Amino acid sequence: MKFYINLQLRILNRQLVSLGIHPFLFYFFAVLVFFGVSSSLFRKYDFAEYVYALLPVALFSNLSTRQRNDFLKSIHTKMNFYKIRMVENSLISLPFFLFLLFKEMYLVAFLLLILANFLSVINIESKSRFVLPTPFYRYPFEFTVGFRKTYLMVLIAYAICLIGILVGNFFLSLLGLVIIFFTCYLFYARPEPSFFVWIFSAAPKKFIRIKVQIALVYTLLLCLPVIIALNVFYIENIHIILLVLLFGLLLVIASLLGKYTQYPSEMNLIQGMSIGLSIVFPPLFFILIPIFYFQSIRRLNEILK
Amino acid sequence: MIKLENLSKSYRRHQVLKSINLEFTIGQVYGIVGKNGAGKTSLFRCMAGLEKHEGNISYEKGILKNTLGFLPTEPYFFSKITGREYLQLLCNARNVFYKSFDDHNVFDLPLDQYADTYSSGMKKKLALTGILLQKNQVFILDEPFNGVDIESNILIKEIIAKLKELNKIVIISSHIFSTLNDSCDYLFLLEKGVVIESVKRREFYKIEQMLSGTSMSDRIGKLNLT
Repeated sequence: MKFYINLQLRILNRQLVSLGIHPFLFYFFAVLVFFGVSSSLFRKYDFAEYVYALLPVALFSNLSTRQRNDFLKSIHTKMNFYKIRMVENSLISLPFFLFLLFKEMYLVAFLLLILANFLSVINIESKSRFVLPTPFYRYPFEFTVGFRKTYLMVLIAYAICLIGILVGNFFLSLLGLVIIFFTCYLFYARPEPSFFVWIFSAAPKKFIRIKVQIALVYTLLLCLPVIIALNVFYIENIHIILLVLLFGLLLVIASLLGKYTQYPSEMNLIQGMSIGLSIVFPPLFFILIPIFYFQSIRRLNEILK
Repeated sequence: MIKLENLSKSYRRHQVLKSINLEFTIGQVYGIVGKNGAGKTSLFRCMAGLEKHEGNISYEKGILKNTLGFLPTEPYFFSKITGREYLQLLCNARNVFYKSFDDHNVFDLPLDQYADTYSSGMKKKLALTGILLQKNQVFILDEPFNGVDIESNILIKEIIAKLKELNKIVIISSHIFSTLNDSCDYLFLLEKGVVIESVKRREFYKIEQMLSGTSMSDRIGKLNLT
């Protein structure tokens, strides 16, 4: 088991080095950023501890896929498999656990540990072969896959919008719209294998133009129920709705272009931080998007020449 | 015609293809054989334009990649995407449109199931269907017969024969010599990144002899099986 954990650490370090980041620097800044973001979350929001305790669950889900668990089970004894999975989940939840202890939220901290250990013995990925229909069949790819993976998030966003309307809270309803934009943003988070870019018989500019058109139309399609509801019930705030709509669409475009800036590798730290800064100060998107556009064209030229 | 001139490929210091010169003409089926690691897949990826390389690849009818159907050894499928959507994605990429894929489902695949739930043979058949529906002029098929049932193997051989009849260029790699024997007009033997033998159909036996000539007993002895 010790070898396995060491191997995972070595793989992580190799990935950091391949991204041009020294592992020590990464761990140092990761601790600082983690502490800063956590403190800010607790300072700004009530009941932050519950959201906070659920954050590692998203990370657990990456380690609890059926394929991964089946592989681990096939090479380890049953006892060692459970030990490995428990150690992995405990290591991931450790920083969250320590911060909750630091905040003297003992009950939530121990609930998190119990959750981590419980989730280590189950496959999070569903066995179901049910095919969820989507309205994206004409151009199936990011939105088809993304929607099927995150449809619960979209439903929650619609529900939040509805609750906002029922309680007469405009900003709560607007939050529903923001959640949909962030969900669409995630659809473009990871670059696809180069084969799926290579198959296009289009020059990079045309390829990007088609991709952006599809992204805009499909994002608007997902947002449509919320936009209609907001305009019906909060027409007096139309200027805010339009502004959020504009920045939301820019976020999705930035995510799409960002995916190809280092293609076939993933976005680097600077590009990721640039998107983060633009989310905090959205007018930056007007500078970032043209930069990402030209970087993407340059990278895609190698495959679509 | 596709012409490879002094095609070389290195991964850092390791050279996997060494100055390869080959020609592929329309209406012919070519087989590339060689051991694992001989450079077959690298050669295909270079021809497809998926890998940077040295040397020149020319195609008389324009941009090769825009009319090339490439079947990788292990086709990749996104999770949560159905067989039908996969075909739609591949056809969209080449601006080819079909009213329905059901009429073209030659392997009787369950197109409305998620493709990543298919067996490995079904995945290969779906990927092959996709590149056939793209109406390509050139086909590179890396191990098209692997993992596929006997009935479909026969169908794939017939498809290759039809492609030849339609004046397409077909390049295949396979470890199953009989399939190449049935389908190919020419065979190239690749060893350590070099084409060491090029033969026409009537001389295929030479390559079969070269491939099976190695003594196995010494190698098995290394395992110390008890």
